Amino acid sequence: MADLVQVLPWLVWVIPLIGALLTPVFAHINGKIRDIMAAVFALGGAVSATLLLPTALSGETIHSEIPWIPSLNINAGVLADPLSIFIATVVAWICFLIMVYSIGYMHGDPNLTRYWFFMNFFIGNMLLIVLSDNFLQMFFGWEGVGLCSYGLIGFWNKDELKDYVGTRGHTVLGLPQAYSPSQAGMKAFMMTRVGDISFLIGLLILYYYSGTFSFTELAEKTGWSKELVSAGLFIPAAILIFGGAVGKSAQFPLHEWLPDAMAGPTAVSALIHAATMVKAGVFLVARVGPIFYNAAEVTSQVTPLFITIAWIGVFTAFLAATQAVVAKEIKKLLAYSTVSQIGYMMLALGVAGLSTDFALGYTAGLFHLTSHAIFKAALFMGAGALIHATGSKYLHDMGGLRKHMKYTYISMLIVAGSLAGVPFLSGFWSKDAILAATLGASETSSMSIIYALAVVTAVMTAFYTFKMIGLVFFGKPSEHLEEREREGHHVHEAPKIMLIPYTILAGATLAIGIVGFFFEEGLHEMLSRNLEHEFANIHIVEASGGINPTALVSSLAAVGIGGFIAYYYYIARKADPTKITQNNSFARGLYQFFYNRWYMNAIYYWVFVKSVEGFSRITFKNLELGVIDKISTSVATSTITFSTIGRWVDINVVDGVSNGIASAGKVLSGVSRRIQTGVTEEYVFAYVMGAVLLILLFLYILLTGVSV
Amino acid sequence: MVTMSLPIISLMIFLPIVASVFAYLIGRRSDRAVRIFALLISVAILGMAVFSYASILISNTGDKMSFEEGPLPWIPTFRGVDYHVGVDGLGAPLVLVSAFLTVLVVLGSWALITTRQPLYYALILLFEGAIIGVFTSLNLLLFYFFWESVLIPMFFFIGIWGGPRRKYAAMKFFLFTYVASIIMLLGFLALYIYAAPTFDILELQNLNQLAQIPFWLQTLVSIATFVGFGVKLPVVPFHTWLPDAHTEAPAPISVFLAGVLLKMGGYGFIRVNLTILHDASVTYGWIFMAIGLITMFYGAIVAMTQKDMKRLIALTSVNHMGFVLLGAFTMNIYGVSGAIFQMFNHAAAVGLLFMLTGYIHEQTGTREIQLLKGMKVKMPKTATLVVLGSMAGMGVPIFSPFLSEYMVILGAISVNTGLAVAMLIPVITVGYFLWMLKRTVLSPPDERSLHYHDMKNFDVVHLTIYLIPLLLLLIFPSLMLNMTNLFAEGLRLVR
Repeated sequence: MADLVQVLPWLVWVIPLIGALLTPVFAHINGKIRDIMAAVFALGGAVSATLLLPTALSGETIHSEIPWIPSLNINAGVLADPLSIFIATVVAWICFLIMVYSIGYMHGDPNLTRYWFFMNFFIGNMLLIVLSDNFLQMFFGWEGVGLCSYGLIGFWNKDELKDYVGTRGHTVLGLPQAYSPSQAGMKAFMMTRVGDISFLIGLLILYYYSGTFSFTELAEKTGWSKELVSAGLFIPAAILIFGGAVGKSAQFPLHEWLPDAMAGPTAVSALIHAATMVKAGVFLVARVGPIFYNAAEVTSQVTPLFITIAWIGVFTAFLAATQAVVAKEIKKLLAYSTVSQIGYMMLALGVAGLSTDFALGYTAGLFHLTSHAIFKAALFMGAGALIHATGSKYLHDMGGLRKHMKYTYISMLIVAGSLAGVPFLSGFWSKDAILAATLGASETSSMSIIYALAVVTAVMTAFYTFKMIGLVFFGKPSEHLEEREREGHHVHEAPKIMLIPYTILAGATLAIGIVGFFFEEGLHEMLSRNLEHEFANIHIVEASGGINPTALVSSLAAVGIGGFIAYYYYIARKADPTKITQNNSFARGLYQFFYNRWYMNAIYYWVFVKSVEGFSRITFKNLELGVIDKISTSVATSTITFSTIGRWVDINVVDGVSNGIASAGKVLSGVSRRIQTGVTEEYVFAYVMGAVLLILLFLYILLTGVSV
Repeated sequence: MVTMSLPIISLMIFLPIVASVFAYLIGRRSDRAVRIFALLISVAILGMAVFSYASILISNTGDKMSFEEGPLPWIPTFRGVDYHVGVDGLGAPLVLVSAFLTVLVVLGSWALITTRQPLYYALILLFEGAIIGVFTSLNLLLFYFFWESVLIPMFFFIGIWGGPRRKYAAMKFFLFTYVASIIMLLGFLALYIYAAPTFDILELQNLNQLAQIPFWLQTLVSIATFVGFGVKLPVVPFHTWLPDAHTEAPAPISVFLAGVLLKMGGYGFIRVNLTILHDASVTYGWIFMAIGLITMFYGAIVAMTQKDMKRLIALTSVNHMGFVLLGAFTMNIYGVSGAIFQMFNHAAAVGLLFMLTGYIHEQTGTREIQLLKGMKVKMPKTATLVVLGSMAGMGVPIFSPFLSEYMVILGAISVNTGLAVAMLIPVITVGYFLWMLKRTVLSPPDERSLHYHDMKNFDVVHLTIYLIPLLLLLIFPSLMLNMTNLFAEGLRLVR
């Protein structure tokens, strides 16, 4: 039994990977078996992860290693501690539910083998990230999920117009803002790659100074930090590693890929770009944060790192929320919202290192990760059902759907409420915990600004969430829907295979919400005990924060204000919101600014794509062809000179040479004239022979000269 | 122990050279017979290469010469001109990859080469013998002899079986490498004259350790070898022969060019500069590393806007070989071992990509990226292989080039943290590969692409073989690194 537990953490990620590799085999049998087996392998991973839960609850850690590159002190291994088991379980079950949903959502697509392959390959790699016991192995999973993300965003790679994300014809700074799936995939891969590279530089520096990639070794022997500090690389290395998280989790300044990643199938958006992969960055910070915190000799050494994390988190949360407020497409609204909510998680993890009690922010961040993974996956699946039913991705093409899609309506209302932070839903507790942790942060003068930004973001979150609910489910059906009605497309509820997965998640949101306070306590207990046990320098203040009245009031006020405005304009529809931008030029400017993504997307494109491409063209034309290639001409000329000299030596210095060498010389000089006109192969052969003979002669003279 | 007494290295060198004569004679009777004959010989050589590689790996003797033969007097008149061969942790991987690629080149030429086959296969065997000679010679003059011998078959490959501008490309290739080789030879002669009257590499290495090679001489010879090895590698700005040679060469020959011929440069730097010219390499290492960086960066930048798919891949080679130069002159275990590993990986990854351009050209009549729309519709197998090859080429961690590239960068970071800028290069590489894929494999099909036919299963199988070592070495990197790390440690490099 004990042995089986040792194997379980391997099985968690290996089973889905095997499932991926077997997909083509099942596809040969028949399509139905292939679809079902894909979900079964995902289930295998989920069950294995669940079987590990008792270990986590008892506070134990499973660490099993096998040698991989022994000559460089690199092992392959799994580390199943409460953090990884908890996250793995959440991730694996959401993956399974989305796989089931996909069976319905992707039904009839001609390229399903590719789809299932990438999906299971993704799940395996994601769980590999979570369960790795060292940086290098984690990086494999890290790149693996990036690859799957690329493959799945561009899944509909015929680039048909209906699959585009963004509004066609909309340009910013002369650049079109609509992306085809394959282009969006490329953009995502490139942008996260920038983060990955930063991550790699950071961890190679870390490896160079510590001689290990292993998390446990880095936690136990903290001698490496002294050397890093004296080299002035302690904070830079940490921030470079954090750069990986910034890329993967779509945080400012690498956040621009996620909204366009919505070109992929909605099931993919739900799985990869909402619930799981984008959380890998948060997980990375949760893994690495304590290691750096622990290794620092005095806490103030790591403060810059955690301030950076907190600031990037809160700024991203704010930035993305402003864009969600003006989003027109339902999936893009949810994508901006994802970016914004991950910003909250980063904030919490940053705050952890700035407080006396590390576990407070730490727990809050991971709690929000969990609740967000559940409700955002459900929101995306619901959005997929809506897009299916209405045939449009635009919010203003929907409306009045609550009567036709009752179950979807109820589920989405619950999970949207959770996103907005309505009391007694999971999101309420986790967001409240983050606000409380922020207030609990000691020192640093900027904390009040961070807190204010976090609260303003909460207001916007509530607003755009209920705006979405209002536009989709309330009011009259849109013209688009009426036209479809006339064409005979009736709006209907989603099929069960799609509906059940997101109603389950809605139920989970509700359940966690009801026991929210105790859930948080339990998580805090489990994680803090582990932190204290593993890291010598992390001390936990016994009691958890409890309820912080200021945070509670602010979060309730945020939901109230944001919710009310949305209710007024979009649910009760007392006034027309378009009038605001029509009548007020400032509001119109702000709207444009947000809608054009603060112009960041366009500026990035000009600076990093257009200019590099231009640089490449100029280099090729002017340097490669213009200068360097011309050198080859001069090399040719000098060779001719060389062979002419050779001939001169041949004739004048070496008197009385044999006929063979003389004729070689003749050929040589003949060829040197022919070079300008083009050479036949026979002559060149003779040239080579002549040259070799000449060299041998040359050597003969030299060597006899020496050895005599 | 019977096998130990068998002169396995000499067999690997001279069996193909002797066989090339027979191949030519057999080929006069039947094209098919010469193909099979060449395949058999190359498989036999591969067997020997695997054997020598495996025995070094198992016995953990990557730092020592194994299967050493000689020194036997070659030109007895002169002291130190001997026949002396052997392999160690540097030579064995390169011999293995040469033998491996020769088999694949023969298989790849099966359908693609249809004219003057007897001569073609004879030259292939000649090339194989010569190149193994380069990677095993332990005497500088012998090394030079094989070095130049490689040139002759390659010149004919391009000149006879090449594309429309083959004469120009062959001549350019020849002039560049030939002039460079002469300069390299002058360097060797200078060593002979001023250091000690010997060409023996091991003896010269000892002399260096005894501090008997004066610094000025090392500097001078370093310049000479830099030209010689640098043109082969190639380093910017000596690289312009390469895109032209590749564009004109038939696909299997491009595999030889990129997979094996370029490695001669990297091999030379590690074998000669790091040991015999150790002190100069330490002092001027930063110049070499800078040139390596420039080469990497330049190759990537220029590759981006190429219109010809094959030219793009050729410039990828420039980009990848910059890693080798950078890694070698970091002069630490990560860098040197990573550079050897990178040479092996590059050979397989880029070899596959070049073969694919050959098949694509045969099917579609073009290699213009703009014209190759929607390849996946009618050529799904080709398209899949193009994607996989590109993944290997851009260093995504589903194949081993990822490991070698980052080992080199780890080595560079160990020298100076600022060298982490090298990391920017993989970003550009990913960029131009993805862009190429988007335009060829992933774009919507057009009128032309509906008439394409996919490759035969035979070709799918032999092209997939390229990926096997790449996958194997990702999962079990120790198969290579146990040997190369030991070799790098054995160099006793001091920076």
